[in-house]
Amino acid sequence: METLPAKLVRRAREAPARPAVTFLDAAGNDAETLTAAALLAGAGRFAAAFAAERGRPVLVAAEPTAASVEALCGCLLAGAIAVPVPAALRPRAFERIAAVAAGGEAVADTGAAARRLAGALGGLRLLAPVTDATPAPIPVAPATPALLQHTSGSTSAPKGVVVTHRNLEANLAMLAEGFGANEHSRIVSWLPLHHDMGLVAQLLLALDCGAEVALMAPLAFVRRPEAWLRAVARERATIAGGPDFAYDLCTRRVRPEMLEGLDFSAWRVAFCGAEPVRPAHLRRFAALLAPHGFDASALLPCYGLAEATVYVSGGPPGGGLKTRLSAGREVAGCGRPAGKVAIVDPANGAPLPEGAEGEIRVEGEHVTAGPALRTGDLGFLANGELFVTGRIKDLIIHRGENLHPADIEATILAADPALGPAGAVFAVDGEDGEEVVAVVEARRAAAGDALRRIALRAVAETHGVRLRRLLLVPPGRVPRTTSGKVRRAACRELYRAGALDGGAPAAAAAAEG
Amino acid sequence: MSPLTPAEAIVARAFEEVLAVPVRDRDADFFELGGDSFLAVTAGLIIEDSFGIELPVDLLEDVTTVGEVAAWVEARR
Repeated sequence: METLPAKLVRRAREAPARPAVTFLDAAGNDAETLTAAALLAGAGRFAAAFAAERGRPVLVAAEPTAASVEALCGCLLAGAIAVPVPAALRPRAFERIAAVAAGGEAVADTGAAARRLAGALGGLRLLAPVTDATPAPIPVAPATPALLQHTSGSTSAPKGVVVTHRNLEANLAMLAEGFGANEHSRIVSWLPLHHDMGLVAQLLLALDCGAEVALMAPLAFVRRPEAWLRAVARERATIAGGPDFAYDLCTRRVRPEMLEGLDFSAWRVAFCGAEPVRPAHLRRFAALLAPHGFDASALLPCYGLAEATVYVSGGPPGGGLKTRLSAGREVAGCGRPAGKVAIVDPANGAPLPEGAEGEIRVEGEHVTAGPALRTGDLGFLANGELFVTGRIKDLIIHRGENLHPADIEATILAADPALGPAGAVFAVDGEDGEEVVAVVEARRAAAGDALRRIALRAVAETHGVRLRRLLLVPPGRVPRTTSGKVRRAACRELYRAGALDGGAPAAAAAAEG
Repeated sequence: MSPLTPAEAIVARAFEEVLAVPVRDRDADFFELGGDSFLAVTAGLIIEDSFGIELPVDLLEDVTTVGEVAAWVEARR
């Protein structure tokens, strides 16, 4: 396996003067370009500063600047773990990043944002690039961590995802195939480099396959989306995109006269991912740009998540927007899965047939905590294409982890023969986000305390979760459907109303761990 | 705390839609609930639709709670 740092060295030797990364100003004009040789030299200066950080996290304030990109590449060359963090952070976000990067003591000195970060977190060492360093990448084993990304989802407690060099190479190869990316590709990206899509699916994809990439600041795009479109046209970009909102924003803010004289005929892949894809937004966007040579077949909805490095399905290029009706709603196809994708029954993990809706399960070398990832997302496969329909309703997000109530219920009911026949596990709002509560029927009421201890221990050992409360109730009290399925939402309402134990839950004692 | 005003309720619903968590409080802060600058833009676009006005797209970078966003909108309606 040729790792990314090895490729950086090879490309600098083979074509030193070739532009690698260009930085755009707020208007979308070229401000600075790093050639392959300059990028490697800059990365080498940071790598020398990170020599003692091998296998350890180094925080990098992720901005579209030469220093920031060189520092990220420097981590890869030095065998340090790159931890990209947002350059503009609020105090609360600092705490989260600190928790995610637990063990991180070093910050790459890439400029003012890095110094603010070091100051705000306290006790961090600032590592400045070493001049006159000769880039010499350290050979890295494929299982070595390359990146620590935080999840981009909407959980109140983001967790760090460790991406190894093997994960990264596997996913970059999948992306190159899905996006049709190669050394002739040109990418123009406004996506933040602390986000998996901006970092892996744009910058690292370009560096890996030898494409040229131009980066602009996310806020510059948000304020003036037409600046991004101008840069796409001027650079004759072949690959550019973003989440659904980017397309929506363009059609709301960009007036047809702003596009005069622009030509989008080189744009082969307009990818759309990271958020649910709304077909109407993509159609409006294609219609806005159609008079300027944009081909709607370039639209490429895709699906992915940080736990699978970034990319799960998309493409092939040229397919355009394909939709199907699901429960009366138009759903966009998110392309062909790159690794192995199965649709499974969320209740028991059993595979479901083609066309049936279920939980999306991903397998492959890109899955960060392999071998298989249960995504918590719902979808179906049709003609080899993945359609994503939503999130699992009863899914609990606890400390950034996806918990399946059915799994925890099964553990509790198996812990002691006196527990059962039914139990319901659900989340309630707590001070630190969602807390997990179990309401379980017990055949023997007398030994309540002992049963509770057995069940709590089983849940802690099997799922690593401490239940906020475990309430034992007589058989028949957990609400069920007529077909006998547990009604978790209804059970939660009864619990919140205090209708299960005859008192307000807040007044009752918390479960003993 | 007094119930949410109609404008605050609309903002709270927009936060809920993108964050997928319950938002019942006018002091609820978009970023403390797990929002990031990506999601902030989406929430802003939903709020635009709901009120039928145009927002600065980076509004949520400066004004982050349900009550603050609603007050900003009310002052410009």
